[in-house]
Amino acid sequence: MTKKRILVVEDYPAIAMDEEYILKHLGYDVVGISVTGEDAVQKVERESPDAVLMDIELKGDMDGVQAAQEIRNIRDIPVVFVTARNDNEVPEPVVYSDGYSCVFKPYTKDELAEAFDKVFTVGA
Amino acid sequence: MRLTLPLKIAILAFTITFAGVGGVSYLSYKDTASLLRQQSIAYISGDVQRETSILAESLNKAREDVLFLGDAPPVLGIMRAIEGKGYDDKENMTVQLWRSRLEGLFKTILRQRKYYNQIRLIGIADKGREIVRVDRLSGDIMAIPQAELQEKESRPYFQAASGLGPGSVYFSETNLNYEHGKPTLPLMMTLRVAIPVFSSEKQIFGILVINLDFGYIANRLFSTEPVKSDFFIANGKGEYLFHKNEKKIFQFNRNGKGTRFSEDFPGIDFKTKGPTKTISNGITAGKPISQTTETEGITFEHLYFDPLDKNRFYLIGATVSHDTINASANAFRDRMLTLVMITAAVLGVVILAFSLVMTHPIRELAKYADRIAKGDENISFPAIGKDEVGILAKSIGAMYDRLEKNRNNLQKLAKSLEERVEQRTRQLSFEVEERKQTEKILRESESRFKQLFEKAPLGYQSLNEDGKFIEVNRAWLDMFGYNRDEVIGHSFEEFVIHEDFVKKTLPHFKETGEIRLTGTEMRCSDGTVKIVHIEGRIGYDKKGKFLQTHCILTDITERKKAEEKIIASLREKEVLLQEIHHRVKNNLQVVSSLLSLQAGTEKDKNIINALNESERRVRVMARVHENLYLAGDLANVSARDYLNAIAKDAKMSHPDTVGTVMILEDVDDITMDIKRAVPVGQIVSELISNVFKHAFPDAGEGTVKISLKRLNDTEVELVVSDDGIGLPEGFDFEDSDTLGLKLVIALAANLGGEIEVDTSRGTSIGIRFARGGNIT
Repeated sequence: MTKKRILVVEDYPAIAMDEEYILKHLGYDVVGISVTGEDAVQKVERESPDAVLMDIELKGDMDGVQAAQEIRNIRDIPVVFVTARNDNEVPEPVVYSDGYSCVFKPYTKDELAEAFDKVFTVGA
Repeated sequence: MRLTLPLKIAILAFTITFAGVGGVSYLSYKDTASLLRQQSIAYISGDVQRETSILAESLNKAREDVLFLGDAPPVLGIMRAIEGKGYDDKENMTVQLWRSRLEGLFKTILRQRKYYNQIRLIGIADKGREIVRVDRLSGDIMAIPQAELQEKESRPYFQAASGLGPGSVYFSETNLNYEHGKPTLPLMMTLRVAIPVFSSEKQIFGILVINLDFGYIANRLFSTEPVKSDFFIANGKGEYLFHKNEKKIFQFNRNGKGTRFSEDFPGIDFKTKGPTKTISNGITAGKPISQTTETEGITFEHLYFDPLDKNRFYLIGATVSHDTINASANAFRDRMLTLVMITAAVLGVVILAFSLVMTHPIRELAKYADRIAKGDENISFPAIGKDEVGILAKSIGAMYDRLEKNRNNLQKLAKSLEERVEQRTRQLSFEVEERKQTEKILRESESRFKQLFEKAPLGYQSLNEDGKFIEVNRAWLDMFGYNRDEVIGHSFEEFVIHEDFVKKTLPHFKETGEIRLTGTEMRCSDGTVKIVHIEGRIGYDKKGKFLQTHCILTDITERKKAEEKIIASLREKEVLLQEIHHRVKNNLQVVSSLLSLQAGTEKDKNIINALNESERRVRVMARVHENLYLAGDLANVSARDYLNAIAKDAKMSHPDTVGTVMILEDVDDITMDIKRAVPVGQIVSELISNVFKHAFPDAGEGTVKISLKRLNDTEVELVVSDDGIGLPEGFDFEDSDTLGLKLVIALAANLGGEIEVDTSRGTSIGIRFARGGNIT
């Protein structure tokens, strides 16, 4: 069974590294780390990941939600958002639509694992 | 001299009586002559009728008497005796005896009839010699001796009577009496009434004759009549048989003047008969029409005494002269005048006396009335009488008493009224003064109001039913920079931007009666826009009908701008805060991730655990921060939500206990400020983490209970307990060298609380601390 390949989009390096560490620890492959939305879209086109771990607050003109929508226009892959926002501050479609999930900072490994389990299970 | 009421009445009565009766008397006097003539004629007519009746009665009695005597027993007896040659066999009486009896009978009749002069029985035999004769001579009644008896065969009455049949009565002419061929003196008017006497063989025996003294009858008749009447009796030829003027009596044989009726009254047909009436048997009377001449009046009656000859009658009459009538009228006038004077005088005196009596109560009343008029108040009306005046006096007295009583009451009332008026006047003066003060205050108030109205910083406007301006104050005009003429009469809508005021807002305003518009934009005269707050009410008339609006406009343009600035600033701060929050969480996530990465590189389990603990503690901090942020109020954190999140995090940090250890929460609805929320959250996290690590070894099942309760108004107690294996024997909580417990002790101290450890059943660690200012 091949490992699911995940693109991490996070503009904080320490957090990105931790996420990569956790995802690998959870048995996923990390195909790359993007710090902007535009880069993430390119990487999705190039790397064709199975899923994207997307920080909503990103540097650049494109935030995580816009980037996710762009990505979903290219490939119908699940996106797990992480955000420093609170529950009432995220756009509802991001949290409640199929193929999306959201983890609130600071998260635990278990929360991240649960989010990916959810999107992959629904996607399967 | 004052004429009193009685005197006036008396004079009035005298005057009325004198004038009335005098007038009547004068008129009566004027008519007296003719009236008296008529009256006299009427009187003498009545007298003549009465005398005629008396005369008729006398003649009738004579007739009856002679008829009676014709059948009288002495007459029959004397006839039988003479026929029996001097003896009456039937009665055994002689002629002489019967003569005596008959003389006695004649005497008796003569005594009874004063106007009989003579009664005779005259026989046919012996040339008509008288058989029995009784005369009245000089008042004596005497039988004539036989020797003096005369032969009467030649006399007309003898011849007439002896020729009659049985039952017939002869009345002779009234003539002077003749004796021995000469009239008796003094002259005696004689009327003879005779009947034939028949023998038992129905042969004429003789006659019975009664001589009536006509003069006696006439004198007796007229002796009772008024002397001023001239009575007369005439025979059927109008020849006077009796007259007041003696010269006219029985003078017709001498052809003297004035001896006949026709001579005295040539124009009167005395023979004309009027309606006849039967006065007595066979004697009738008829009254001719009474006639008058200029100088006298006359009346007469006919007395028909001979039924066999209707031309034989007595004319009984009377005349009255003009002088007599005038004399009567004058006498009447004098009598009337005297009577009038006496009557008037007497009546005047009587009425004066009567008036004095009658008006006495009135005069008494007048005296009292005068006293009342002069103001005498001590009047007691006396009982004057029981008649109408008395009743009037009594009524006036009662009325006066009532008036007096009413007057007293009125005086009292007036006094009371005066007092009340004075009192009311004082009240009114006070009220007037008070009202003046009030009016002054009102004027001042009105002035202040006017000043306020004109100079108030608040704009006032009033609209009519169509939304057109009726009134605005100075402040309103200053606020928007218009002149009054540019506003009054114009629609409010002309001054409002983006408002469908008249169609929508005004109807709603009218319906609800009030309005409050915040942020209405209005156009100023210089083209700028001002934002105003409008607050208004509807003014109604007494019937509840819409009158006008009253609105206060406040210029909130600057405030609005300030508010917008504040809102913008707030929004900016909120965004900034949100950003800070995100950054804090991101930073905490970075710290957590660094610790996680560090742990991932370490081999030493103790280090790894220490790093994990640190990571957990960072998350506790993040959770506290998140809850504070979510609460929207950094000063107050909900203990229930906050501890629930802490417990959840703690449990998630120990995934190996999932399904075996249950966390029960019993947290009061308490809010805490951030100063207490952070240590309380850390204490709970540390203790739960400690429980998960030590209380249930070998994955044993158990329960952890988190409790936060208000103990009283000033203290709360936090208890974290478990039903695990408890603390190791000899474990000293205070001297523990584990970081977690040291943190708990340090944090409890930070809260000012005291730690209580109970190991009687599992482990229970309670911390009691003051609620503080911001723990509610």
